[in-house]
Amino acid sequence: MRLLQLLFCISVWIAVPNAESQTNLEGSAITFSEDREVIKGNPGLWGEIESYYTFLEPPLETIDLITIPSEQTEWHFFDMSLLQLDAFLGSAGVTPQQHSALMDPSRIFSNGEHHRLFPTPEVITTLSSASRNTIYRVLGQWEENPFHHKPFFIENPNLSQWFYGTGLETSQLQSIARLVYGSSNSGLLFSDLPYLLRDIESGSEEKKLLTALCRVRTLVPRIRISDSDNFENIARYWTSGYRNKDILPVMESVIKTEGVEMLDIAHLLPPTPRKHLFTFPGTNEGVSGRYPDWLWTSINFFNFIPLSRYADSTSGTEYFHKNYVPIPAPEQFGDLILVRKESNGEFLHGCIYIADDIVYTKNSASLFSPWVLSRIKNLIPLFSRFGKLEVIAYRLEVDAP
Amino acid sequence: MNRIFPILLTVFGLVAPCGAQTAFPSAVEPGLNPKLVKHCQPGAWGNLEYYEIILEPPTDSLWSSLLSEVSVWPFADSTKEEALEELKNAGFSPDMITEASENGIWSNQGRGMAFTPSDKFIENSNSKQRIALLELFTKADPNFPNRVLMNVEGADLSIISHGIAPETLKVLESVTFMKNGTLSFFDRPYLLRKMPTLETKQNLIRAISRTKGLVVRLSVDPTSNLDGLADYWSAGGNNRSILPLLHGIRATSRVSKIDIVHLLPPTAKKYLNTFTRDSDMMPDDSPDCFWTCMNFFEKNPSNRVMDTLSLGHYINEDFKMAQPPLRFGDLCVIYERSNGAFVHSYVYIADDIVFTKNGMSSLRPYALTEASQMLSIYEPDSDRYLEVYRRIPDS
Repeated sequence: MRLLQLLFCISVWIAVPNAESQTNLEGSAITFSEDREVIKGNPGLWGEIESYYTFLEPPLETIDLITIPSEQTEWHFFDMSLLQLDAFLGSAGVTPQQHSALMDPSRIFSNGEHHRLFPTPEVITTLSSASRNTIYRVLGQWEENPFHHKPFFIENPNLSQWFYGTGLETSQLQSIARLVYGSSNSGLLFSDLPYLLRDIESGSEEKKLLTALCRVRTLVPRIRISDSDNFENIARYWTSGYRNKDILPVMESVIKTEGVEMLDIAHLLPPTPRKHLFTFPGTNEGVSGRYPDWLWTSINFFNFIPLSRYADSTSGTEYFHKNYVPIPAPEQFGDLILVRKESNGEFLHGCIYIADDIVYTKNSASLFSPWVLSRIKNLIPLFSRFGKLEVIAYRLEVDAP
Repeated sequence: MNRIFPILLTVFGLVAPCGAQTAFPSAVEPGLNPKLVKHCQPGAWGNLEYYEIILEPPTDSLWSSLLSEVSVWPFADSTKEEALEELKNAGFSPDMITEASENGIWSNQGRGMAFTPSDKFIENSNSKQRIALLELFTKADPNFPNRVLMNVEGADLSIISHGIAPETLKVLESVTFMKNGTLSFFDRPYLLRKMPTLETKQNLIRAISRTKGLVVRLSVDPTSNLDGLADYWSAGGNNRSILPLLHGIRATSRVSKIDIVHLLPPTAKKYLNTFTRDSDMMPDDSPDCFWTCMNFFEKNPSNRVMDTLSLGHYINEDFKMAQPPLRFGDLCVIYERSNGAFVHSYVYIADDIVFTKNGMSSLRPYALTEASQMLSIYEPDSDRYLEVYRRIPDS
């Protein structure tokens, strides 16, 4: 709760710093290890929550949908002359040798103000973190640079923990460690998939790499409800003003069953989020022509039959404004947390407050984005590359459907 | 639901696949009393442990007619005289016939003859007579068992006893009867008349509707065959959505137990431990055991299952007959041996654990339960047989 108070007392300023990326991959002696932390949450109206992390990797049939890029790295720059591009690269802090290599006419295709650069592997691997941050953030503006526009996100700076169990080779991990950018505090980004493909010979190895890069971390929380004296308060919290009454029978039963104290939090979610929890969307989710995004996920949290409302649709916006009211901070199960750009108020993301610092979220409409439980402090950095952020909270109106 | 059932080829005995036993030593996690935990036989499903929970319908889901205190016994097209003769044939004494004739209320308001017995008539009826009455009423109104009959899980009133006054239990016991291994009663209005307040009446309805559910967990340790577990729980490709989590567990060796709510297909996961909502009801029908089974692997449930179609419509193209050993997601259907009539269906999960919704009543939840517990309300001593069907992947 302290984290939340901090988050909401001030307008949150999270930017991608230019600090050197730090990983624990020092030297070549890498030992893969896993994140063994059991997270004990702060007790509150929700009871006590214990969680651990696990990873979700997209199913192979989804991985198969990815078009494998060439191993030649390609950068697209728009809306600038060649001279401006040259000046930009200079200002990004590249070395003279890198600068020359990048501006080598044989490795640039220009068409007016659109320039395609093909950086050499040497340039890719020798860029400083500061230069990489600067250049890749600019490249990320344009969707023609798919891996910069939507980079792979690595929440844990300890890469050996993050990739534990993926089967990646130590050399691959060392390459990733050299190429990540962002910061170890707010999360690492990785965009150089083409470079990694250079050392891969088989299709199955390609899929293994993609599967590893696409993994998403989730919390698996359990609630301790041993305090029968406090049952009414705990039940009131999780039923959220009776909107989530379906879970009452289980809660009542567990509290009456002497000796049962721990319950997987999935039993306390409303039916629709419980249905989706820890799964990736299948093609069936797109039969209406759209795949569920953050707004769909958020506004349907309490809806037994989900409504087709999306973040970039008028009906989605109207539904939100009609049924939600702003609140100072999320403190009730089911509150809606929104992340927006401070500069223009554009909503970047929304998720549902569960308890303590845990949220229920789907971080994009992509087939590669599962429905997960996350900690707010791990979620917000996902959007830090968009600059200054504001985090605000809303609550479903009492008489909303 | 009017289903026409095909002649069936393979017959299994109506026996639970295997019993729940303490099969392997396992450290019980902190916060769970080891005495409560039961262990399944290890199998292709892995090592499962579970404890019971009791599911009661919430008070606000009790519809008003459930609280009716007027007993209505149907006699269809019979006249009063014919109905009295039927009571006589059911074994009631001349005194009881006189009681029924003089102190009961007989009415025919276009829906056939209805008899409202006096309390004395109810109190003086014995188990044998109640069984005979049930047959009479079912003949007069085939939907009578669905509407009125209550079967007690485990044929044991202890499931009802928690929070219910001993004297109330005694009255309840007096109107129960045992038929083919199932403990039942149909005198709910009479019981309600004995309750002093609305709250006690509601509590009684909730208590007599209690259903045992299970919270089941899969133990995973470094020796677990995760490929085998993935193969079993993904049901030959019918339940692929759970694979990412299972693979995640592979990479998280500290995970020791995972609640199998996460291993159920999306629709079953959504409905687990809940009661039917209005949005799933149709004018003349409501989700029942068969609806639950047919929608088990569906991404979204279809009420097409409530349409009047033959069983073959649902299973001929999408299922094949299955032989033991049973597998996760198998559709199990119980038939009357005498006429092949459908009795009940459920979904096999693992060992002795099944996923079921017992009847169309919205007082009955969608739940995981022990097969033996579920069968206890379906007259297990009757002559019936079981057929098992397996869904064809991507059908």
